[in-house]
Amino acid sequence: MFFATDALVISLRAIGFVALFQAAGAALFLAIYERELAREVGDRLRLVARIAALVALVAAVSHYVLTPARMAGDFGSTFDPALESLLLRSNSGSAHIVRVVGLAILLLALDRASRLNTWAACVGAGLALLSFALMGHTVIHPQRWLLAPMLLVHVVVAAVWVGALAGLYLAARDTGTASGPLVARFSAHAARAVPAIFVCGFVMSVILVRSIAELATPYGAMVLGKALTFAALMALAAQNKLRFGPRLLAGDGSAVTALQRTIAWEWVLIAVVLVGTAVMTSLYAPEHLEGSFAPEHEAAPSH
Amino acid sequence: MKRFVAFALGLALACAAHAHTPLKTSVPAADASVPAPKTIELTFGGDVRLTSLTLTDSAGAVKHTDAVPTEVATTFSLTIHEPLGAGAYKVVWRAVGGDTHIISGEFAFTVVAAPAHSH
Repeated sequence: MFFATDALVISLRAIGFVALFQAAGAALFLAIYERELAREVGDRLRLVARIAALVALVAAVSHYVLTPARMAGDFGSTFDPALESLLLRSNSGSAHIVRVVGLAILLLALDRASRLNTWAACVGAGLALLSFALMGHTVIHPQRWLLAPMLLVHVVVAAVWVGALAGLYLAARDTGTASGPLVARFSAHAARAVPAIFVCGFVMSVILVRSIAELATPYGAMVLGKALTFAALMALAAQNKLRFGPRLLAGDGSAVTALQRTIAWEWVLIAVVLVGTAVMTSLYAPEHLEGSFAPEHEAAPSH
Repeated sequence: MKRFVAFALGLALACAAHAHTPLKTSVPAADASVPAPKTIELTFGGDVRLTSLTLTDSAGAVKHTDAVPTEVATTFSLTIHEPLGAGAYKVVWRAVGGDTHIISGEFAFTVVAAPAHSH
């Protein structure tokens, strides 16, 4: 059964995912590459990140407030004390608090460019991304000791990728072929870091989707879909690194538009993955975790 | 690109509309024809917290049942507080599983008139 509460709460989660990755990723990208960006590009990216952090913050708070309504399938249960208590005591409740604190720090720290602000933004981005490893199916899994760090690496590298796309797009748009060295340096770094997304994703998939047969389940189909989209993303990224990057370095102005187009496609594909993940993990769990409470919840006495 | 985004959103919504339900069994069973039951019993694959259950007749009128309990359990039994006449009924339920993972579903059953006793 799909209720109006599902549509609203899951939409908020999906918007929050995209905005959080954009905000945290842009902050981390700025921390690494700001010295190589023209000042106006850095300021624009900081503004993009701030807006994204604000959207993510509003989405996270709204999602938390409305989750009891989704639990009961009825907006009248939004402030149901029993459901609020259930949410607050869950891993999801504490993870949401970490996420909101992280996004608030991020929002404040992105106010201006300074060393202190950059450090604070990294802390905020780290907390916001850490929140993914504190909730969800990885937390209730017996092998969470392995899944949580894997998920953390997975989301941090993916976030930097998302943030970089915005940064490189703005750099190409505002500085043209002068962005060539930045694109080349980022591509070299990405070639070493991005495989971590695949490795961590593969290990998590093997643990969560335990057999080939489970790929036919909705959760398995989501994993397959993410793998296929990742392959498409790698093809686009390779095109940037091998074709448009060298042309930019050679001063070929026509490469600027082509680079911007592929960057826009990469961003859309990652956004689709994030939205798909938010929707599917809201509705489905791995087969062996469906309908199971975390060990600490099971140990709690019933009243 | 707009068409691609629209396609992806449509796909996500289609998947959402087909969310499955890990309800193992129910009494009355789904699509069963039974004499008027006194209780609705749901058994899940694992421990969950039942957060809502609504029993309606074919006209959509809600039938009064016990409030959902606040305990986490595998099996829930809710008493129906009014007699059910012959006809079709629908049960819509929702529960919260591990780490607030929400699961939901519905099933229908038919109440048949009790056979008349001859004296």
